[in-house]
Amino acid sequence: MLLTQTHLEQIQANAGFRALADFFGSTTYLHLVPQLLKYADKIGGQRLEDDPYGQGFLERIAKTPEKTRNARLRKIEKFLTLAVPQFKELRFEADERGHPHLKALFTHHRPNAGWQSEEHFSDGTLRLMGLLWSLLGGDSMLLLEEPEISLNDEIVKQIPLMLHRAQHGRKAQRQILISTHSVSLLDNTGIDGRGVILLEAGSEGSTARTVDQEETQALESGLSVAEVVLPKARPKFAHRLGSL
Amino acid sequence: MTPVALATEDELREAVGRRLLAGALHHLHVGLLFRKGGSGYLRSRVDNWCALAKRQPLLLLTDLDREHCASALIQNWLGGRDQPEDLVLRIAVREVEAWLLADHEAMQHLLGKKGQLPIDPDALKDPKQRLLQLAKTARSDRAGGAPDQRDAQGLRARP
Repeated sequence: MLLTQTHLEQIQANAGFRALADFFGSTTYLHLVPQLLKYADKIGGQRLEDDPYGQGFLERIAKTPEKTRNARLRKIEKFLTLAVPQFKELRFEADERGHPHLKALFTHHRPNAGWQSEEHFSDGTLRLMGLLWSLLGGDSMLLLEEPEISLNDEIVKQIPLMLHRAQHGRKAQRQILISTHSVSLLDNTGIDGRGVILLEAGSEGSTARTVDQEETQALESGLSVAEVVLPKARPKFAHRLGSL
Repeated sequence: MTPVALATEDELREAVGRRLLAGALHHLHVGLLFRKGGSGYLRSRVDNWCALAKRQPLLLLTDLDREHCASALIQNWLGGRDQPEDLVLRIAVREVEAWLLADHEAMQHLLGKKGQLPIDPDALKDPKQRLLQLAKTARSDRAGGAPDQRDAQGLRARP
């Protein structure tokens, strides 16, 4: 007889909790650090579990089935054409050593002179690609760490709408948790105040709270989260920093 | 304690607004703070201020600047809307800086005795400019009450 469990470790014992474990286990955390991707060869291969900093972003794209990959890349290409000046075309290909690369064509006065691979992309372009890729795939909870970093304000303003559009029409709506300080991101009056959690630093550590009655009234009066809630996160003595 | 929301143009006006509320009635405390730099923002949100003031009191503090009359400015901003009872609009003539200049005691403590403080600051056309001029001459003989070593333009004072 083949024994698969001990008296202490019963496979069935955790059946009731498995859904919970699977949920947290499948959570995606994304905080793509462009330099780790651009200088991957020089920095070396140390990676954290689940690759939160996007070092394996290209491999992840490569592992995606071709049809899905192409569909997603076409969507990203369409978006980048609007968001990145001179951007024209996006390709995904392997080099002679088999390493995957993203290549983008930028309009240039010399034909064929404008192809650049990811190490020449701007930080903002790379972060935007990472953000769009994660929005387009998966149905687990997605944690986005300050998605506004390195992006032009006009693009940041569009992030709430992008998240909404990415969810629209999908069978499995994805739960997204975003950490941010961005006025531009939070200035969208369509953001539901009930989804806001404010972290307030105190002597006993940070406390998290939802919006209170006064804030709810202000949000219901058509003011944005950036106007109503964000001022509460301002460091109290920030105005003195310039006088040090 | 009744919270009063405060909408102002900038940090200085916010500080003055807080002081006004603190000195008003004991049962009031400063609630939500709104400012985004400039009166354009305040004006663009008049609809929202009116809506909010129906739910909680709101003090809006702004400058008259070059407009001729505070009452006309209020009517102009309201543009025919009914002003909710709890929407308190207060206009500084011509700028809040004139109110600061009127506090001779505190100003002398901050700037020293050298500067000539205006007797009728409300009559000044550009109180902010006057305040900056006074701050420039304040370097050498300040009374020493300032919180830092900078003049009003944010430049480090030379020894």
